[in-house]
Amino acid sequence: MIQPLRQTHFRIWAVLPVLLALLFVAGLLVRRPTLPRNAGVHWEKYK
Amino acid sequence: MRVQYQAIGWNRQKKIYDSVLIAGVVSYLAIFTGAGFVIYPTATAETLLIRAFGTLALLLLHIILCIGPLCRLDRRFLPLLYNRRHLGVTTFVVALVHGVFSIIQFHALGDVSPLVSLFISNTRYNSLANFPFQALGFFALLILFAMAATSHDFWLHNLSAPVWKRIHMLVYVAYALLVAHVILGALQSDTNAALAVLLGLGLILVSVLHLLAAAKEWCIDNLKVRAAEEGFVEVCDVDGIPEKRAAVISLEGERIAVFRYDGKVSAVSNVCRHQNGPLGEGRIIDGCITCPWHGWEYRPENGQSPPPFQERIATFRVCVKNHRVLLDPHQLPPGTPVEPARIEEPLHD
Repeated sequence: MIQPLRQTHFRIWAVLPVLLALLFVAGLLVRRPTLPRNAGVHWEKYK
Repeated sequence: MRVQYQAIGWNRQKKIYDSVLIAGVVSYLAIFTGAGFVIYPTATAETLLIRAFGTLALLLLHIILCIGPLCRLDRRFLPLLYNRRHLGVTTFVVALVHGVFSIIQFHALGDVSPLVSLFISNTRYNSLANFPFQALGFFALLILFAMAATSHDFWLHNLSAPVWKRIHMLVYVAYALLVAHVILGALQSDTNAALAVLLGLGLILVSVLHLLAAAKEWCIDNLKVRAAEEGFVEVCDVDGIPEKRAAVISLEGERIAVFRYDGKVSAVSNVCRHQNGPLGEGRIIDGCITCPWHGWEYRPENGQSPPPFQERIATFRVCVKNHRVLLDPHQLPPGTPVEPARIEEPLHD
């Protein structure tokens, strides 16, 4: 690789992991509760 | 290395590479959907296929992004790099299947075009938990398409290497979009922690490998050289260069490969004309410097590809004194013949 490309790669990988890690943590924090409110009702029975 | 373009220049290595790739893809899809039917018996076939193709595309993209830094850190990974473009095209096809299945499943039964529905069915851009993540996947798919469509050497030659490289560096944008697509999509609704753990580990692995490779490159760029006589600089000990291989040094930002072969030393630019591959990590085969990435060849004494090829790289004046390699840092025009320096034999009593 030529030096400008190496520098671009380095800049990208100095920033990208931080941004994606922040998004990853934020995404986990705002996760919706996956259990439905009427979890005891099994709709398959009413088909 | 070929004189004329072919759709694919098949050889034994490429056939083995592609066979392993296809076997891996088919095995993954079979295992994922098979296990999915057992673990989630109420899941539909469409849902399992969407998940199988989606996770496979993400896995393949992680592998692609790991290959580059792995090769910089350890040359034993170079065979993986050789046919990486086929891996990239496969990733696009797998991601396309995931995208098409998803659009059919979630957007095809309305009264507007499925593609329009993709963008207007959810416009909660101000909500992280309900973000319209499908749009992120769509734009990532567009980038993967642009890369797959221009992956052939025909486009590399006609777009020019700088333009082609810029297009293909968009893979990092595609990666960011796909990770965001998964975080804001599947990760929000999936109760299984495995996806979150695997995605986190993948992100750490890709990031650490790239940063380690960058650190290694930084060390090469900052190696000190000593000034010698008549504009030459002392770069290394000739005994430190293995036979038919090179020492790579960096002078004023320019990487130079100093090759030792048959009792001689020659210095050329470290940058292959094909894809900027590191020639100094290759070796001399049948009298030619052979690029470790795709096998492009140059003669060490003049930087010229053997006939009928016409590629040329810059050469440098070099001499050997007291077993130290001295090099003139001013590069000569590509293809300029330079007399190789003879390695003087040690004196015996």
